[in-house]
Amino acid sequence: MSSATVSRRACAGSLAALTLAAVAVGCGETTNEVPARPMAAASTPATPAVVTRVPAAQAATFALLRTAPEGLPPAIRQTLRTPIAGMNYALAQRIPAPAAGRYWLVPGRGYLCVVSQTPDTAGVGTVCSKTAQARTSGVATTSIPRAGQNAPVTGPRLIVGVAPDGARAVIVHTRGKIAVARVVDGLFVRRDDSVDPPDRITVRR
Amino acid sequence: MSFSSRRLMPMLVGAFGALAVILLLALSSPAAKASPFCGGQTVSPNNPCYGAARALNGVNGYGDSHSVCVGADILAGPCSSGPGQIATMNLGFTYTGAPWIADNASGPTVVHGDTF
Repeated sequence: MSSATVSRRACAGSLAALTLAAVAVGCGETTNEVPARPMAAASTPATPAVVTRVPAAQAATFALLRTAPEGLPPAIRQTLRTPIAGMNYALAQRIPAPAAGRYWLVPGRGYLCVVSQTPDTAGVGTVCSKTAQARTSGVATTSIPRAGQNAPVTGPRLIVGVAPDGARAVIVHTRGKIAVARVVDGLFVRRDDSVDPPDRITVRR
Repeated sequence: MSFSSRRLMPMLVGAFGALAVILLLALSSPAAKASPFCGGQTVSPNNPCYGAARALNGVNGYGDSHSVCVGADILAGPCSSGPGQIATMNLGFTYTGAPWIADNASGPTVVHGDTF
């Protein structure tokens, strides 16, 4: 009986000590912490308040934004955490692009963004264009599969984007060369062997 | 309680506890904090700007006059499609490495990057 009591005390003592040790270690900074996103950092544009509805200028120019939003899936929101550029994840529109990966058009405050999850890029990617620029040139994300910067390209360049209403095609300018992508239902997809992202994209109406 | 069980219980508890501590240590890493890199530097094509290695959850970047690609070490994020567009790579986990921002377009551009 006495030995059993000692044994339980020993167990309890060990548990308490180990729990304290674990808590002490766990009190350090861990990957589970939600980091603060840069708020008005000098290096990137300020992070404005999240929009509560699709900005009129964006809705007037992009048919996709005039349909019921699907919103970003929870797993994508979890990865993105705090929105940049005032993006409202609930207003995200799935871009039904005939390409590998998943894409969403997400309205922001003064910005229109494409959120993407592709096999060729790490994590979740976001490209945000100012609304005025998006209204004239559309907004697109480019993935170039390679194992890091300066590593050889391992697959075709993939550009997925949304064009403004009335666009028939977009012209992709890359290092003095141009390539044309047809716009279908407001979307464009371009796969080619270029190893560079576009300098710019212009719209043909 | 027998002699063997008296000895066995603390050993088991100790072993499980040690395992828990080891797991916590393995999963622990410095938290990512907002931290700029390459701010205002002029980057020429195919000559990316690297920031100092750090703990990061993602990388933001944009170029004043050209599109850019962002990443960290061997992790490649998306590329923007024009000047002023923000390209962001969100990893969803903490990674310790050197962030980069690359201008792959024609001609140099001033770039701005930060990690979070």
